[in-house]
Amino acid sequence: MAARKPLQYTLALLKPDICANPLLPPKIIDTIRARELNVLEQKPLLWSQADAEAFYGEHRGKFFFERLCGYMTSGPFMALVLSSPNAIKDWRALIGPTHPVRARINAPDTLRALYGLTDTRNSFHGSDSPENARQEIEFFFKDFHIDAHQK
Amino acid sequence: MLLRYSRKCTAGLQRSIHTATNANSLWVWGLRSSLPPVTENVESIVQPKQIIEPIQHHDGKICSIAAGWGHSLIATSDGYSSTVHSYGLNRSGQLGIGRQSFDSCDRGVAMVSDDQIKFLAAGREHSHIVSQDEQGRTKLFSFGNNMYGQLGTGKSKHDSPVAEQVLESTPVQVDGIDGNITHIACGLDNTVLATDKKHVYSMGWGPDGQLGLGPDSSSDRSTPTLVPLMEGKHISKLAGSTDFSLVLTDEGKLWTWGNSEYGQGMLSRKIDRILEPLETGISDVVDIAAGGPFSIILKGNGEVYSCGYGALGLGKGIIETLEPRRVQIDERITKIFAVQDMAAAISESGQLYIWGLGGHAGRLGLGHLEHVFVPQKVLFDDSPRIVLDLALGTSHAICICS
Repeated sequence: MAARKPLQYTLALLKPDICANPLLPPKIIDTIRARELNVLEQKPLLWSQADAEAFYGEHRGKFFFERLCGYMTSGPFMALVLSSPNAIKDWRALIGPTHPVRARINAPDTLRALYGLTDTRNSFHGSDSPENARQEIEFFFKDFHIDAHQK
Repeated sequence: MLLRYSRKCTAGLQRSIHTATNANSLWVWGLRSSLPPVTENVESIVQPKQIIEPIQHHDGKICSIAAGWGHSLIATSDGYSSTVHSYGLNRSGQLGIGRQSFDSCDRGVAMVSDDQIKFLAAGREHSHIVSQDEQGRTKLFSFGNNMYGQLGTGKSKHDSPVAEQVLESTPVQVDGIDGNITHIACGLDNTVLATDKKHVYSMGWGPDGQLGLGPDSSSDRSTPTLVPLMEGKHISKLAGSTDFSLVLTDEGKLWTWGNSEYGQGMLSRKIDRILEPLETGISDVVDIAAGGPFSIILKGNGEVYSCGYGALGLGKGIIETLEPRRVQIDERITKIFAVQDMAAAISESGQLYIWGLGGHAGRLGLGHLEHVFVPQKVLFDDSPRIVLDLALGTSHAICICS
């Protein structure tokens, strides 16, 4: 029997503008499952400024840092752990390019084209590498251990 | 998100006169969850549907309409009192009906007043009512999401280091405004207003310069805060729908501040953040409308010009321009409108033209979900309609026809 590709894990965020519409998170989770991504964990959150600054610390000093933290503290949002053989790429493909304004013309079938509000309020986050996925999952889900899951 | 004052509701007229002259009809399209109830059980209303409910219930006439990101406000008057009806998302109390709604959309009455309702305005999750008494004195009421201080009530998330939701689910009166309110416009998370004492105030979210307070000031404000460079100017129109403002003075001069990453500020270049008002140098402007990554202006000769990024009304080949370019419409235009991804114009003969990015909600009202790169006429039903006023929400629209 051929060895199956091990599962990969990624962190997904449904940002505050998505969670401001109670009809959207269930719909988006259905879409995630339909793309054969497993939803292993999900958690509602509300951030303080300090929480946002801790997560986005690498962007401190950039001109968009203030608006990124302001947006992420504008209301409740959701963190999810997703898995599939190519979870990082699959989820990022599903959410689409960073800028919803351009995605609506260039990548109209992606989640950001459909639900992203503005370039700042871009509605979704996905980890960009296995290392960052590990760190980000640990940031939100202290009790979720990728290594234990992979066994 | 612009708010429009269509027809004055003159208090004190006899009821019989009022109802006899009430021939206006109310039409809606786009995302159903943001709209007053329609009979169809579908997610998207892709063509204008007439609704009777707010008028019929109240036996009154429509005074003002506003459309936000996911909610709608409609003010009616029966000649004795005014009522503000709210419909749509209410996660943060933006309907002003005394509760938050966590499952889906909701509806109710936000306010009943002996005063006239002069203006309504709606942002992403916040709302304003401006009432006016018989002496012409205005009052501002706010409700909904107040995380950034966009309600102007002096509260915001910045009051506490601990994360908690800040909101008002019933209308709260806002103090600290000198003069009577003559214009008000909501961005997604901020509000700008002008008074007859020649002041412009802003409040709410500020990191992109949305509040226009000055080169060292991009922090949020939770009370109406004077925009220094606009002091003493007579404002003839304010426009906003997303993260930047356009202001038209009585001299026909155009000013802007806030986000201009796509050149939507009409300054011939892209600027990430404009922290205090800049004059554009464009003159002979009679109407203005601010979208998301674009803006449109109406010139004195009835021509519309578009600038920025998106389905600009300039054809499929031109989705980006830093100089305002003329939108081809065969008629003279009298009023223009814009929101994040779409724009509209009412012509001298009362026709409505619309263009912009389509999407799942059918928000252009043209019977399909496609992008529309040149203005198309909106068709109402078999009989000809004169379009009087329009409120564009992010994914829905409310329209008053005669």
